[in-house]
Amino acid sequence: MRRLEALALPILVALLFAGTVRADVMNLPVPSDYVTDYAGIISAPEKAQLNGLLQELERKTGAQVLVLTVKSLEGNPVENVSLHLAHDLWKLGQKGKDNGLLILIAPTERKYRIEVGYGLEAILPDSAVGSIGRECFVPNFRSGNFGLGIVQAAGEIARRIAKAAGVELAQAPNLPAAEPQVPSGGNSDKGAYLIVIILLFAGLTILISIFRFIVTLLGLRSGTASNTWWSRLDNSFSSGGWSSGGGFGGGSFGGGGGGGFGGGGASGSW
Amino acid sequence: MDGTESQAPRFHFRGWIGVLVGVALIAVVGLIGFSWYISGYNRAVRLEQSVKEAWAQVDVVIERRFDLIPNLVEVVKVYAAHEKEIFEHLADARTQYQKAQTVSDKAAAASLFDRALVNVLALAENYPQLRANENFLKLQDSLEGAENRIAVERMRYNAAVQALNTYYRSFFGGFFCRRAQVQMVEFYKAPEVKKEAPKVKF
Repeated sequence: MRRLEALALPILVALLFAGTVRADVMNLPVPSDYVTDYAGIISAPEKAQLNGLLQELERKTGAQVLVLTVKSLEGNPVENVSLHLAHDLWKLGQKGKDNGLLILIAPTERKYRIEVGYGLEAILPDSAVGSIGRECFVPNFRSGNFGLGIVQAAGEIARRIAKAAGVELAQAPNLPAAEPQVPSGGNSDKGAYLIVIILLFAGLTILISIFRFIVTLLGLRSGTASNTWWSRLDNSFSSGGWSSGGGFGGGSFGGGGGGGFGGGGASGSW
Repeated sequence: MDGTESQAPRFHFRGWIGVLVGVALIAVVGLIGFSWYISGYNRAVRLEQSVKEAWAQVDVVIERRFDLIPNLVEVVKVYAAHEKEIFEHLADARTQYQKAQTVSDKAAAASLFDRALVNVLALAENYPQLRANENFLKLQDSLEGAENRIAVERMRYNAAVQALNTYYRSFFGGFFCRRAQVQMVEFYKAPEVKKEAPKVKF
């Protein structure tokens, strides 16, 4: 009996804390998937589709695009929440490249925001992102098709990022003819691009091997020194910056890369 | 006699050790003091540098917002050509900002722009064609983006200022700041009107 009584107070305190910690939109943990649906508005097949698309996007371009839906903004302006999560807590995007992007949907307050990292602002300026929101989110969300709206927007965003990076995504779904798009080139163009990219890869790999050889020869490289610029360069090239390296399983997100955000993007409501 | 003779070398040896230890101690204390001084000085310099960089960022995003004016004027002019006054206010605000030197002057000039901008956007209420114009909508996105960026950089600037000013007022911090010729800096405080700034939704 005494032991139970002694436990009562700590348990009570723990329960209290558990309650408060869970309902804090400004302190959400780093997601393990590309799509985190706290509000429960995205269906499972749509989630899978999005995960597949965004994982392919990160693998091929390094850009970290995440989708987040929340139960409530808890009185915070949507801009504050998205910036705090994307920039301060999760640090989406690769360090130095700042190619992160967060899509935040808050169905209770009927607000959305697409938060664009520094490095993606040139490809996705505010006006482009605003148009995407107006065209993909507003009509679909008004009719309750949240998943569809998000899939369309993510597809458009992914397509633009891929295009700027010179790669092709197998999974970018088609948009209804909303924005006039320059159609991607025919097979011959794709072939040429592919060859150029392969040659570049090959050339770079050769250069890197030569570089590593010289560095080792000069005795400058020692085991696992990770603070010098040449070993950092070495590490970033050999640990999956280029091809499908990294330890991502099916649809799982490996964590933010240290990228920064400046407040670019667009918000809206429906 | 034998005793005193054999004692003499030992006594000198002990003294020599003592002097060595004393010198070593002084050297160590000196080194610690020296590195403490350097780290304090460097910290003051680093904090000041962060503030300068943060201010440069604020400047950049405010200028970017000013750059949107010509576009805005072009689009609105199509529908509301006679509202010239409002456009002049926008241009004046920009000139005033470029002339401003101190943080508070710049903040005041930036908020002048806000007032002028609110008037321009309010125009859209009277001209429904403007509201539906895709270019105008895109401009609105750009303006809102510019506003948000300004808000973000201001927040980061003020955080850097906070760090510097707090260090300046701390126990030894002020000493190091003065040695490094680093002064306290003003916060970026916008006059209250900014709160109603151009988030006019239609």
